[in-house]
Formats: sequence, C-alpha cells, structure tokens
Amino acid sequence: MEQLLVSNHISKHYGAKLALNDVSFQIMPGRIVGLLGPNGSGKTTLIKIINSLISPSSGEIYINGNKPGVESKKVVSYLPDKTYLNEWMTVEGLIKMYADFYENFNPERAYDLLSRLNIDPKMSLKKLSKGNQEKVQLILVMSRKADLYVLDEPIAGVDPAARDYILETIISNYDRNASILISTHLISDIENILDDALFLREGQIVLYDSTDNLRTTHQKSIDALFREVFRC
Amino acid sequence: MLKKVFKYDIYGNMKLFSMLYLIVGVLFIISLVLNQVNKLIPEDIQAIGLTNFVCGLSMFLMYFSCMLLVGASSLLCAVLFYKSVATNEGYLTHTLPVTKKTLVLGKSLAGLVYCFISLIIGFACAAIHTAVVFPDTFNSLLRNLKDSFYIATHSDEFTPLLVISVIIFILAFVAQVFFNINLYYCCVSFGQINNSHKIIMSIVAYIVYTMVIQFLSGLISFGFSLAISINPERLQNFQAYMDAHPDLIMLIISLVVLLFNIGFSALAIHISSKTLEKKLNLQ
Repeated sequence: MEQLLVSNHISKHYGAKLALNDVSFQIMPGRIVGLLGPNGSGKTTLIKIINSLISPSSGEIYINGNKPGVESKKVVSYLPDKTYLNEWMTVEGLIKMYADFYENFNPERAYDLLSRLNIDPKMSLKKLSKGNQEKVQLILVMSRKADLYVLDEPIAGVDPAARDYILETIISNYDRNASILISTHLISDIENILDDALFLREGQIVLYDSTDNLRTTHQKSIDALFREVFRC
Repeated sequence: MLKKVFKYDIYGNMKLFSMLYLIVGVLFIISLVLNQVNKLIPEDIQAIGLTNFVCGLSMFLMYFSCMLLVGASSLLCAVLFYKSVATNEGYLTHTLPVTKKTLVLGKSLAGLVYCFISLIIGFACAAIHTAVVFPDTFNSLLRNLKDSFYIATHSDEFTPLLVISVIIFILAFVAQVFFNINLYYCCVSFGQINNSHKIIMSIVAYIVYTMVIQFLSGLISFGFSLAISINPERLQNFQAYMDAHPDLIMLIISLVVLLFNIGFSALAIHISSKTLEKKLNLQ
C-alpha cells in the first residue's frame, strides 16, 4: 500500500525560533493519527505546511505523491482551529460554494447533518451561535470524500456533549480508505479512536507508533504516556 | 476556477455593497422628498431657515455619500481582500484548490464589477437629484453635452479613428480602475508579511509603490520629451503632426495609457500572487 502522506526532514524557522526540527514520518491510508503535543510543540505549524498555508524552511512533504498545492488541496479536507468562514454567507451558500470548489463534496450529507442539528441552511453564519458555527465548519469539512482529513484541535474549548457530537460526526462520516490527522492535547477523549499516535515536542517527533504498540510497549494508556512524556 | 472565484467573491461581498447602495438610495430619496416638500412650505416659514438648513444638510449628505461611494469602492474592495486573505477567512481562501494567481485575478475582477456598479449608482443618484431639484442647471448641462456631441459628430474631425480613440479611452479608464484595485491588493499582500503591523505595512507599501510608479512614469515622459526637444526641428515637426492629426494623437495616448495599465495590473497581480505564495500570515 502506498503512503498517503510522506514528510521528509521538514524544518520550519520563524526568525530565530525553530518551530519544526527535522520532522520525518509517513501516514498510510485508512489510519486515524493523533498529532499529540502540548501548546507550542509545532502541531499547527505542521498542519499549516500540509495545507500549503506556509512553506517549510527545508525538507519536503508529499500528499498522494504531490507537493502541497492545488492538487493536494483537492484531496485534503482541513478544519482549522478557528472560525474561518465568511459570516455574511448563509449556510446554504457555503454548501454551494464547497460543492462548486471541491468535486468530492457531498451536499446531501451536509444537509443531512445540518437537519440533525436543526440548523436552518437559509440562516447566515452571523446569526448562528459560536458553537453552531463550529459545527457547520465541521460538517462542511466532513462532507467531503477526501483522502486525508486534517483536523486542528476540533474538540478544544467545547463542552463534553459537543465533544461527543464532534467525535461521532468525524467517525461516522469519514471514508474508511481515508486517513485522519487529528491534533489535540485532550488525549483521553480521542484515545479510543486513534490507530496511531505521533508525539511532538519542541518541533521534534519523540514517539510515533500505533497506539496498540505504544500501550503494549509502555504498559500505559496513551493519555498516561502523554502525561509522562510531557511532564513539566 | 477563475469563474468560481469571481462568482463567490461577488456573492460574498454582495451584502456589504448592497447595504451601501441602500444607504445612498435612502439618502437620495430623503433628500428628494425634503426638497420637494420644502417647495410647498410657505415662504414666511422658509424664511426662518430651519427647513432650508435641513434640505441643505440632506442634499450635502446625499452628494457626499455618492462621492464617497464612487471614490472609496476600490478601497473597500481592498479591505475585503485583506479580510479574505490575511485574517481567519484566509484559512478557507488559501485552501481552495486554485492557484494564487487565479485567486487574485478573480477577486480583482469582482472588485472591478463593484467599482463600476458604485460608479453608476453614484452618478445616477447625483444626476437624477440634480435633474429634479435643479432642473435649470441640469438642462443647461445636458444642452452643453448635446452640443459638444453634435459638434464632434458633425465636424470634419469626426473620423472612424476618433471613434476608435474614444473606445480605447474608455477601455483605458476601465484598465485604470482595474490597476487601482490591483495596486491595493498588491499592497495588502505585501503588508500581511509583517504579522504584527499588517495594515501599517500595507499603507507603507502603497506609498512606496505609488512613488515608484510616479518615478517610472515621470522618467518615461521626461525621456520622451527630451528625445523630441533635443532637436528643434523634430519638435516642430511633432507639434505640426499633433495639430494635423488630433484623433491619432488621442488614439496613441489612450493606447499607451491602456497598455501601461494592463502591464502594471499584470505586474501587480504577479507580485500579489507570488507574495501570497511565499509567505502567509493568517491570524
């Protein structure tokens, strides 16, 4: 099976600060990978590089054999850790926009998920609560039949009920041949759904293995291992 | 993809521009109604001055809003461009499967459309208002315009070349507006490189770009003038030629302006897209 994502010796400098240092890893299709690390460990920088929002200072990254760019954007579905949609637009308008730009977007799935939340598609985003705005963003991202879903802190700052909804939406809507890269520091909530875990500290990979192997080797849950590795 | 970027930029900015058009429209109607009502008010009440003051104020606001709409539309497009590429909205804008060049071009074309809609609305409101409130002034203006057009179309100087010159002149004007928008976009793209002072850097970039363009234009004009004036005979020949072929001269000037604006626009789009490709500073 061919790798979906290959990162070769990626480094990223912000002036004198080294955000990523020689990061190399691969993601195989059909895996749910947890990108785990404390704040400032380089998770968002890595995610931005994958999504072609910033370029690495050195090293290369390939998604389905393509460098980040127009072709990779067609197969990567990205959920940033911010509200990023134009508030003037209606939910319906956003669905049309996604359907127009992304060939793999499924509007029926989006409308179905919206109806379950009782969100009126005719409403503009501005009129929705912040929580519902975030859910609309998640719905748009998960309604694509992408090869790789990149989710940056999708469960940070939300209540436990919303957390459950978000995780359920992710799990029940992604294509089984696709992979998910999910960044978080709330390990206990997602531990059970992860196939692999990538521990990032100060821009460097400290552990990358399947969650089963990590549990067996260290005789600990991923959450406990995280607390041990990143103990202050 | 260009069509899609254009379409969604038009759609995304529609509400804001519609609101502005609505404000101008409301001010236009208020001013018209107040002026018509004022005419019905007896002169002794008018003499107090309050009604005239209210009418004058409404008229000032109406004309001012028209001028602002026409003049500030391209600036507003720049603000919306900034919002779209340099704030949180950029997380969507820059992850759409389009090249940066397509993105900038699509947004520039959408900006051009809004600038022309604003131009039409602004001028239409001002013209209709003048026609209703000051019919004599408006008729005199119209008569002058008709006379000029009649002279132009019935004189010996009215040649097909003049028609082509006018068309090129209009295109040059469109290209000038397009370049203005792209210059703003270029400055925003450059300004966002500095994460902590995006707006200030955009303004600095605008000042620098404008100075460079002024310098280049001045240099070209100076070179041209020098090339002609260095030889008095050539200068005389040139002046004689200008007098004999005003239509051709107008065509050449319009064509040069058009080509310059197209060239500068292409350069601005190139700089914007390359800058956004090279470095992005989203919030």
